[in-house]
Amino acid sequence: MTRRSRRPDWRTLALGAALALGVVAALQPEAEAERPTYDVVAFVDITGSMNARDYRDASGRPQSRLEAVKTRLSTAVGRLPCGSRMGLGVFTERRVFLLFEPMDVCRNYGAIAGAIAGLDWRMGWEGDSRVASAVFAALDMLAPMNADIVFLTDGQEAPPMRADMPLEYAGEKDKVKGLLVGVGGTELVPIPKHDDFGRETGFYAMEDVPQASRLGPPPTGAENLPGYNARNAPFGEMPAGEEHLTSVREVYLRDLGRMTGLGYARLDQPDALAQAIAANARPRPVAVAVDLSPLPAAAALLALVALYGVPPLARFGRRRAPPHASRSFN
Amino acid sequence: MTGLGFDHPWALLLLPLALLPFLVSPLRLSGVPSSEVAPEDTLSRVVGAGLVAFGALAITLLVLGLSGLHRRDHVVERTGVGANIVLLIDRSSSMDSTFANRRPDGAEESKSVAARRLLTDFAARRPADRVAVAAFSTAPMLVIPMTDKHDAVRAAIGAIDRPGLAHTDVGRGLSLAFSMFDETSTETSRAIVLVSDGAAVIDRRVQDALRAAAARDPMRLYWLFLRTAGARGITDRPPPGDPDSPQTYPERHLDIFFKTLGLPYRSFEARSAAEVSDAIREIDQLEQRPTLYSETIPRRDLDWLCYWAAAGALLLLLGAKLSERRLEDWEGEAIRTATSPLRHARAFSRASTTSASSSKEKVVDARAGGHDGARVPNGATSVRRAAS
Repeated sequence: MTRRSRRPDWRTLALGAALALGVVAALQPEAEAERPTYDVVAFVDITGSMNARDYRDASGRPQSRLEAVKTRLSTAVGRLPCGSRMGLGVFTERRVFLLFEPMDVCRNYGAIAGAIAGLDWRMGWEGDSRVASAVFAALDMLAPMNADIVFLTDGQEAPPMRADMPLEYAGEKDKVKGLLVGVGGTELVPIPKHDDFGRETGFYAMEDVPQASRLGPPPTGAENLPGYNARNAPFGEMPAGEEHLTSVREVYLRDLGRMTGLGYARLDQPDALAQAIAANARPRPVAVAVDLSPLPAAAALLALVALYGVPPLARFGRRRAPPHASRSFN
Repeated sequence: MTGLGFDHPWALLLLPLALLPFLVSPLRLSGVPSSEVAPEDTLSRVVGAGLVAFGALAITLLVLGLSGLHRRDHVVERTGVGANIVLLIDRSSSMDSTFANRRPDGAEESKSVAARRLLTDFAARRPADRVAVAAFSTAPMLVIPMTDKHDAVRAAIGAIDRPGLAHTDVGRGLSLAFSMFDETSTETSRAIVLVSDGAAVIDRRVQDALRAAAARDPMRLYWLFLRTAGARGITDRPPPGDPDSPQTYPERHLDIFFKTLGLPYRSFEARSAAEVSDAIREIDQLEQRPTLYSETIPRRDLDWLCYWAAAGALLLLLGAKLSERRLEDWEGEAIRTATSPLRHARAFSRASTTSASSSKEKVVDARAGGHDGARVPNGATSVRRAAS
């Protein structure tokens, strides 16, 4: 049994390489990488205008804005990278109410999705919808929590803002990042009305809602307005308007975003929402281990395929070679 | 096996590569003129089949590993000692003041901060609980549904010391709490812990609804009343001559109403954080019942296992390959030994190759060197000639 001094067969080398690479893969080499995660608190507008139905669900039936937010937000949360945390709050009146603090979206997805599914306009504690005040209040709340904001609203102020009183944000801009998400269609749609037991009884009519603001002192020159009475109607008579109808107020929300340093996105498919959150919130890099074992494993597979696949290919090539080619057994 | 999953199922398209070993041998093939040279023998056949199988196995396992084979995370039901608890927490703004009814300062924490701290401890002490959290003030609010994720419970309890709202609508809060038990919470282990610092009149219609709900789904009810200094307590009776109405003595009347529900009920009146702590400890001791709760076993990667197994198969193949003998290696020995049929075979083989490929050649593996030099297995591979 003389061991030859010949060079080892290339197939031996391929087999040895595959074995070595397989062992390397089995040892699970890892590399450290950074992945961005996000800490956000989503505030959902649960005011009356969110009951307007200008979305369609998967089967094409009309869907209210709030329902659209619920289905899309919970899917979008599932698309955030693991390690991200999300809290949830609601908004009506002029302030926000935090339901829970940010928690890991992957480990607690069931609880988060259940809580989002449990959102209801009946949670609302008052009927007003002062979007700007609520956004400012939410930013104040989030600044010490070091979380970013996702504020989902149709942007409809009820009662409407005073056109002669410009809105100003007193807080520190850019301290909290995030975005305002515009909910609703661009067409005006009616807002459903409910009775004391929460049953839907029709839609708001023009005279049901204030069409202009009556807050603060009357504007200068109010005495020239129609119906002006210094004691009973210092703002003049209520003008006709479209405040009983609703559409997403994109221009207003963009302005509000510029004022507070927040981004803006329209509520679209969940993937787009998750991307918008990722684009506007501050990424918090966390170190994650990246498994490198597929590289040696793929190389091992390649070596094996070469081992088994090259001889038939070579034979095929030879068969097509010119007939005078020499053939040898060794 | 439903519990197995793949991260990259498309990689499984490479699985047909595992057929290659059935078609080709990694061993060097030598031509011999006739299968008579290498007679049939079982051991060689088994070894031959084994080598093919190991090759196929190695490729299959590598592909499985590459496709990210893992055991999915799954939920196992466990029985523990605890309860299914709905924490119903008052978020009215009065909770933001201290037990002494002052604005909280550094020395004294507010009722909501105390409740937050003590309830967080309570939840942390009881791993077998499933907990849901609801808040109520002007309106009832579902915070998180019944969950055994204690992270989630902590995050929900963590929010209770945020500024609250105006009113205390206990009735509607309770009817929300009654509805929050799911079917997995066994009937004997259901409990509601109501944490509030005041009471309010419950609408008669809501009272009826609550009685009906209590009759339908029995559960235990605990009222942890955070009594503020100067406020009326649960047991305070009006002095003779004063009207004894729910409007003037809401706490007393809420207590009376709870007693009429026909549920196991206990109230705790706490005037300080220490008393709250005692009350919570007592609830902790009372709520020790067998419960079913689920625990999630996290996903487990199996690719490393595939790679080790593939490496094992490859090791055997390599062993076979290294113990391979060529026919020409044999020649020296064959000449030295007595007349060997192989020697003739070899000579014949040389002769026959020159005379074109008219005769059908049997190509066999010279792979059995490890066992017995005289055996040349045949029939293991196809009738092909391999390149050397």
